[in-house]
Amino acid sequence: MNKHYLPIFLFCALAYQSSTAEEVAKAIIVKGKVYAITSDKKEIPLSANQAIDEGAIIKTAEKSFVKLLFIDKSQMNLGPSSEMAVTTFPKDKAGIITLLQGQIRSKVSKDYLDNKQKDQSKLFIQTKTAAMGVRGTDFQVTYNNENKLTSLVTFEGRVAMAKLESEKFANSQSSLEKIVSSEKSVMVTQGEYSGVGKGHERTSLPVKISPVQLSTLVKNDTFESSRGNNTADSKTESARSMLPPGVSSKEFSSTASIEQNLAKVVSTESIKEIIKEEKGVNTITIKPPAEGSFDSKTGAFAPPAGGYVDIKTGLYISPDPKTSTFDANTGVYIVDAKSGGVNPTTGEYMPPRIEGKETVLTPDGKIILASEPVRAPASTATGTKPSTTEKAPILAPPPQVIIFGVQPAAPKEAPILINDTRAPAAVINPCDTNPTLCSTTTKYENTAPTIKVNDFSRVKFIFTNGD
Amino acid sequence: MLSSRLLLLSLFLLTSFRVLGADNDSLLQRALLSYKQGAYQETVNILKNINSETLNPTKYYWQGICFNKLQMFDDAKTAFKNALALKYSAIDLYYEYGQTLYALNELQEATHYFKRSYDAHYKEGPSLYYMAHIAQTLEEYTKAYDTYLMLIKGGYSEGGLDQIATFQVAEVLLEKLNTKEAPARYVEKYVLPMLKKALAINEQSSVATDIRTRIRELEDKYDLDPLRMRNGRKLTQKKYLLTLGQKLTYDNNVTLATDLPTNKSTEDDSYISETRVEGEYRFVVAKRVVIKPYMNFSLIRYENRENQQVYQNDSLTYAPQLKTALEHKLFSSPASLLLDLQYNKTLRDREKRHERIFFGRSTTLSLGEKFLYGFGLDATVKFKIKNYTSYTPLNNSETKTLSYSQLFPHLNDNLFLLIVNYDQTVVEDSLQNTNSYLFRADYIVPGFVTDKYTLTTGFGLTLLDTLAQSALRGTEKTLNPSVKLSHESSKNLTFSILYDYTKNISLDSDNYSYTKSSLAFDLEYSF
Repeated sequence: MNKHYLPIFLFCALAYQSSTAEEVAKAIIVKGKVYAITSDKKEIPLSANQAIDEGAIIKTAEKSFVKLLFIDKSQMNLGPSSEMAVTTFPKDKAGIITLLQGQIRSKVSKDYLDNKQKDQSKLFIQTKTAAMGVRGTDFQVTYNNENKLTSLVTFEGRVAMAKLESEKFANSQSSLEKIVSSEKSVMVTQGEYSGVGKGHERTSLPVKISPVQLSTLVKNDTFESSRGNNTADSKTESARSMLPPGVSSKEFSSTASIEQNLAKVVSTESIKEIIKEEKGVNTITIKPPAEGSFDSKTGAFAPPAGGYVDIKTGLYISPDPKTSTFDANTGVYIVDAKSGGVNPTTGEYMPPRIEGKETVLTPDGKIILASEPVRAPASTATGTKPSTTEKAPILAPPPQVIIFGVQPAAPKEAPILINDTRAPAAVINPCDTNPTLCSTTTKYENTAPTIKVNDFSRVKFIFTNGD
Repeated sequence: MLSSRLLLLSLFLLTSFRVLGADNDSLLQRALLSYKQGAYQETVNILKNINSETLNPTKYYWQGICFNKLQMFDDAKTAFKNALALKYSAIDLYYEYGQTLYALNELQEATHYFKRSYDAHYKEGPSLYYMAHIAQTLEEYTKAYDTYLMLIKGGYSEGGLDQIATFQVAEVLLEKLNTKEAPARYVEKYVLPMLKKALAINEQSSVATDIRTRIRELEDKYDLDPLRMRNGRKLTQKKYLLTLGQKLTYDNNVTLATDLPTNKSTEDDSYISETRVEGEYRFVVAKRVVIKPYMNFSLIRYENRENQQVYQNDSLTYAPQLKTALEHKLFSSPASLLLDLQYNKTLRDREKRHERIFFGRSTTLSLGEKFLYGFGLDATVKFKIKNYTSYTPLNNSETKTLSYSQLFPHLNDNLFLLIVNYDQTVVEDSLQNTNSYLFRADYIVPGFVTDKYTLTTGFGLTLLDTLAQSALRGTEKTLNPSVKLSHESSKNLTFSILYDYTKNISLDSDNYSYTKSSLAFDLEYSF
């Protein structure tokens, strides 16, 4: 009798083993409310050290966060109010992560990078509007479901990015590799930003973000937020910009070198050492000019460099080259204080206050008063969600903030919050070349009409010059 | 014992000094690395740890620069003040501090430091500009004027500085306006020429856009725009019109061109060549009256030289005209009272001898009104009286015309033109008297397919009441659809293709009913 049970037992064990999905990651830090969504759409709370299977969907609530450690030693942090799927994560091929909403910060392990195919992607991230092939180590991706904008900031290494033409997710590594290697793809390197939305023809050309924001954002890999902490705006409420109106920012920026001044007080050798070392670190080559560029033939578009990235909405707050100070040290423009700033601890973009009151940036690019106070993320109390869609009262007209990413790169109407600065070589003001962008005029307004109509009827009427 | 203690103490001090020196060096190295990466807050924090008599001036100066880049101007001011107190002498210190004070609205003090920057030959042009701009802001107009002039004469043109300085000189001059008795004259004599001088420096710059806007504003405000009439109507830049045209038409059923408002067909076809020249020149009097003498010559030749009925239509026409318009306002919008006098003389080959001889002449006086009402584009109402003298007295006539035309915009750039016309013709031979009613609509599409093409489609309906002949002919109807496609080959040259169809319906169908089609190619050159 016992002899019959053994094969049955072995069969059941094997069957059980083959039916369980493979574990590909572990949740090593869980903060707040984090869930794993099963195939039958049940939300199971996730706790620390819990295994994550291939195909799992992870979801975080407000003010929550999870750090995942994958089998290849890569780390991936999922930010608050976010959702991602571990679409596939095979041992011998690049993994595919689908970001459904929110933000992820990923640090791909160096071992993973050491394979022989250095130009191939080690990991793929896809959203509804973009595909990214990771060829570097540290980067952050945001996808906002309201404005369908995907934005990428690379902190170290390189990430290839391309627009996903249809909103259908790709299934295989080969199709994703093809997309991120296409002609319209871009390579986003250290300190750079690129973005793409539903109405855009292609991803924007990578530009350097504000180095001030970059230096704090790189350290904030747990998505700490400072909202509601009454952190006062540290910038001076100055009456004016450093630049007089209408002047060339580059011409008026100081170009004296710190190194020359240091050479007076320290040995030149030690400064040379630093410059040599710094050259090795700072490998960013700026391809589009700092003022931004637009190629009407290819549709390639770069916003002005030096802007802030709003991690929650994915929007890029661009400096205005006409009025912003140019920083000769970093080669980017400095966003005017009146357009907001960044929190010195978290690197979050802080929109400008209105009459001293805190404001929020909505996914469609508007700045409105924060209707309710936001609790700090460390608090486990259920704070009320800051409303970004209800119409909060505005006490004064909000300041003009130039934002890329809300509308397509070549809009037909003239939204207030868009920046499509043309390349300096073209020296074109968008309002001059595309009147429908900024105003509507008719050809015959207040001018003598010059229509000629020849009527070939029996009684001949010839109207010339408006007669 | 004492000497060994002294030795130990010295060794200790030396070692400490070396350690301290090494610490500052590494701090400076870290600070420089952070600075080059744009991590200015981090740079400031690192520099705070440095405290050395030799390094403190540099530290404060460097902190000031970082605070400026972080737009923390209060902190920048403190740092620069400390550097200055320690007599730090970086070439750009005064300029950077000047910018900080400018941002903090401490303008008088800012001027002092920009002056020092200028004297130190650092950013001389921008330093002068700051000084002039601050003086202008503080309403010290004489000082501002002198400083801007110093900048312009100094030849500082980088970044368009000369252009913007010249622009500001005009603005400063404008500030003195309220002290002048004749402001419009002052603006015309001093301010506008200065603005135009600034514009001429670089007409493509973004500042040029602002300058143009300012010129327009001042011309409007002080009524100085030579092209703007007193009622607000803006005339075109070009004062004259001179065009040469050559048209070749194929007509499949040539109609007799008589001096009566009725036509008979020849039932024969022909190519028709037409050469024309027209010109006019515009005079403006007191910004109220526009006078335009106009001249038109037209030479027509029918290539069918076998059918006399056809080639007898060969003609030469002279048509000088004097057009006048009194600009005024109607319905709160610019309007024109029109008074035109036209003379027309036609020579035809009426004797079929291949020689154009006198056929008829006419004088037409018209009075009309062009105005804007409701639809936003011009409407014109006209009353005309035309006296016609024929080569045969029986055909002499007088025609009174009442016409109305209206332009409507459609889909932003397209136009719809509606014409309604009534003619009453009284002929010496009263049997030929007629009343005619014309209804015509044309749809014009500028930028058809591309910017260079214009498509015009039209349809006309004419009803001719033959009066004394109505028992025989009834009220004749003429239907006339047409389509024209024009191409602007260059700024001066236009090529057009036009197709025209005419159907005339009469009770006396044998003599007066006909259909005809014509296809024409026209080339026109405008000077």
